[in-house]
Amino acid sequence: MPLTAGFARDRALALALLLALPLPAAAEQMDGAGKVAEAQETINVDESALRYFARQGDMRRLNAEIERLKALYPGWRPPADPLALPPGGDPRIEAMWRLFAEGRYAEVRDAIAKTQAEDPDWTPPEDLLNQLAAGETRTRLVNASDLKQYGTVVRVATENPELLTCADTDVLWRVAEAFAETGKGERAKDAYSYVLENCENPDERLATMQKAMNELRRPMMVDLLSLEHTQTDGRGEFDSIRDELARRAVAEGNADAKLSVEPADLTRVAALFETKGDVHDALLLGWYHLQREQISEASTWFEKAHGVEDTAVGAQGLALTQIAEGQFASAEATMAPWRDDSDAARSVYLAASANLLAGDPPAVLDEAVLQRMVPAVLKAQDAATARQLGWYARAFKQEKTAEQWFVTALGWNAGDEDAAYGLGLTRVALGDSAGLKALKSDWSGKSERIAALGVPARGGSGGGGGAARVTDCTRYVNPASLSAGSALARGWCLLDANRAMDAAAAFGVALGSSSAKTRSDAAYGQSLAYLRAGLVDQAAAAATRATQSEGRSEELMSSILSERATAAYNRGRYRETLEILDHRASVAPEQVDLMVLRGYSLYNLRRYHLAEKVFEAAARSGNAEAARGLKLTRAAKRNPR
Amino acid sequence: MTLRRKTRQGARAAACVAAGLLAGPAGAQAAAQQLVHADEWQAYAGAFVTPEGRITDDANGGISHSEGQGYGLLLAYLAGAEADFDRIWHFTLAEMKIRDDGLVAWKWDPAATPHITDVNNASDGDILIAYALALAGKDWKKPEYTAAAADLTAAIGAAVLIPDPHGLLLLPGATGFAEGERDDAPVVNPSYWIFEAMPVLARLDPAHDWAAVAATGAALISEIRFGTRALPPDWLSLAGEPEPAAGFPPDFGYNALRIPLYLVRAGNVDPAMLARFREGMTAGDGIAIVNLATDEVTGALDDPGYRAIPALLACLLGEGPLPEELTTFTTSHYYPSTLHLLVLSHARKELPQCL
Repeated sequence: MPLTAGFARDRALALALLLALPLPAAAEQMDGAGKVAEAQETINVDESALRYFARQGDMRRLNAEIERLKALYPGWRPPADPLALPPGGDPRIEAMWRLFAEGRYAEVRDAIAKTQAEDPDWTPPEDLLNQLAAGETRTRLVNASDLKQYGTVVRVATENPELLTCADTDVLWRVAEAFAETGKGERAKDAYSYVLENCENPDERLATMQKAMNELRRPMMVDLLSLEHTQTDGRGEFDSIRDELARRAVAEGNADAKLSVEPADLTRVAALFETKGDVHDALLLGWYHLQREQISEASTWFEKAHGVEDTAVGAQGLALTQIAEGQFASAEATMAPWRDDSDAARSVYLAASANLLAGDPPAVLDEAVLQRMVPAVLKAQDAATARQLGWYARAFKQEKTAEQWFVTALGWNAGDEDAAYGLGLTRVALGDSAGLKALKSDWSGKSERIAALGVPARGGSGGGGGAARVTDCTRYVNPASLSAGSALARGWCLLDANRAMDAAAAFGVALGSSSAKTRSDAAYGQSLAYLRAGLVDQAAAAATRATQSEGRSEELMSSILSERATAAYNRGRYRETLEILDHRASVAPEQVDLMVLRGYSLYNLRRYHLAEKVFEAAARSGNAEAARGLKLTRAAKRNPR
Repeated sequence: MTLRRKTRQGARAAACVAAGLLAGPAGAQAAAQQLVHADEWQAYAGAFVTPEGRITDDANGGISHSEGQGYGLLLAYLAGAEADFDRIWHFTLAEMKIRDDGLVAWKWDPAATPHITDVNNASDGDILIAYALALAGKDWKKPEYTAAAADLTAAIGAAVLIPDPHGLLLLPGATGFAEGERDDAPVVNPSYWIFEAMPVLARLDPAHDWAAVAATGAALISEIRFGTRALPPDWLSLAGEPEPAAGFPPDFGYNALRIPLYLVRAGNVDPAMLARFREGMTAGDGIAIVNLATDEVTGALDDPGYRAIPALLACLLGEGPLPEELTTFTTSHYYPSTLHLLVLSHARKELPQCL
């Protein structure tokens, strides 16, 4: 048999598959070889299968057979009306084709063997034998493909290129998949290209692109898109593929904030949402922007999605943007219907809740909100939100409730220092010294602020240590030239002379003393010097450079905390101011000036009720600033902003 | 992966196909090949071979396995049933010989999709298939069978032969039995040594030392003796001192009972071996399933196909021919029926005095 165009093309594909060569255009080959074939003698084509399939109305097989015969015999023309073909030929062969059409290949073999045994002169049609072999081989390829035995798929395909035709795109797809799954993307692309270059069925062409999309990277998909046909309406047949590619690109961008996504893809998905209103497209864009902390864009898209349909995933996105924008009450409300939908939904709900509880000032929450929040916290055993419920209760002076929540939080996370600190403060407030002692013992060596809780304060002593004071330190002396003892004395002199930084340097030299007493005095002096200079952090660091007596360390700590509270207030960080003042109050009684600071912090947090009480107490001592604050607060209470 | 465990139920088949009733027109082949008679093959094929060419294990839910396909091919060859052989082979090829490494997936379940429910291979199935293909290719002058046999043998050699202090071991499968794949590895199944196939495989696949494989199996079977019945187990761990492998019953069971048949079919008629198995495996009239840890006989298999094995050993020990009832084949279940035809075909060829 001469090499026909059909085989030439199939061989070309087989070679291309094996060697990863670009495929020659099949149409050219068909034309060239077809002319040769037309010049040949009339050929005897076995049309028995054609007749059988036509009579059965099996159009799929009929068309496949026509294509196959055309490929085998380029000079052959299919009958104009295959359905009108007269019945003919050997009924035994008809029966075999029937079995074949039903996929009962083994029984065809059996029938052939039996017929041969009965009639030794009978030979089966070559066409039937070829098709039988091809059918069995196809089954094998499909089985191997189903079981992900991709090496077998590729081997079977390359050994049986006659399987690789437009009449059976499923096989082509499976071969492409096998290449892709074994890391041979280029060869996979060649196989998909083969379909797009040679096969005309629009559904199969589209399906080819859909399958390719699951296997190939974007640049290869771009290559395949260039093989698109224009439809009669002038639109490209792969518009939906372009949409899907854009969606996937955005989705990949959602998973990885560092991935850059083409603006065209973002625009395409946005346009898709505007025209089709599919909630998923809006969500894609919402997540994309949220991943990049572009909160207002994210918020826009999640709102749009929410406008189409409230979904668990959409609600999470919306709530996350609301949290990012500080709209905690909205976030809580957004997630409330979905709080039991999944673990992910519940954690977003709890994040919203924790933030809502921690608000400045604490929002007065509806009973209904708290009632849905509490079971969610209990169900999730979420220590962070439980702790926030503790702080929330404290803010409203519900110390007993606060204590329960802090204990609950610690039950779920024994290492939650903030919950332990809250518990300690609450026990101080409740006067529960046994409970406080137990807590401090649990946290011994693990938290300074817990260790410092409730220590009875002593009156601050402005005095220095026992070292002799020098009275004249106006003349410049390099402190490094002094002995430790002299440096210490000079430090006090400089401090008295209000030369705080020189004093700190002198105390620094004295810290090198071999005497523990001198080192302790030097650290104390240096800490005071830094405090005087307003360098609170350095003061705190200096205080730790040598062991201090209890009285001195409390004095330093309360001074340091006072400075820090003032600094925080001046930066407008009122909640932090209050925390520092609380901390300090656990170490030493609050002075009137600090009470005023507390009052103004509460005032600025719009916690007027508490502010009023604080100012009232401070004003009783005759403090003018407190009286002014009280006036402001009472006015604000009447006319809240 | 989970280790497979072959289980077989030994209940006698209710329906027996009367010998000869289904005898068909397959008589034209060379008589020398008809060590399985046409009527026997017709009965066997009628009971266990589907129109697609699938051998069904009727005692195991009608599943098929590579071992069954291999037995089916071998018996079809011995019956000279070329068309049936071709049918079974094409089913095996298209449905089961799909592994990337060229081996045969061992388990095919008609109720599952895809039908292959475990893509691992079973080395005895692979060997039986390669062996049958080699025999058929040679005798029927079918080069495509011979080529397939050579390919499969090379694949077996590449995948499941590992050197070990005990010799060149035949692993039961390509995965799951070697060092690093289970604690008591290597694990072997002594009944996977199909000794009669080894010289044939050796000619097809000179790259692997099949003679050494055979020698290793023979030595293991000779040396490994557990319990007072001195029998080898179905599954054997060679991690340290040989012992029944973990995760399997410590039995001389459905697997190991084939061992003396395989030895005899390969021409081993050593009286000590024959006596050992004859005494060890016999329970009453049938074959004992023995718990080798406790010496307890946990079952007795009395289908004719099972009884034919100790009867063959007895004949070789000079105790006279098989009882008459065992010289006629009737189908019971797939497995004992297969064993029965293997006994009868061997006796016809080599031991006419036993019939």
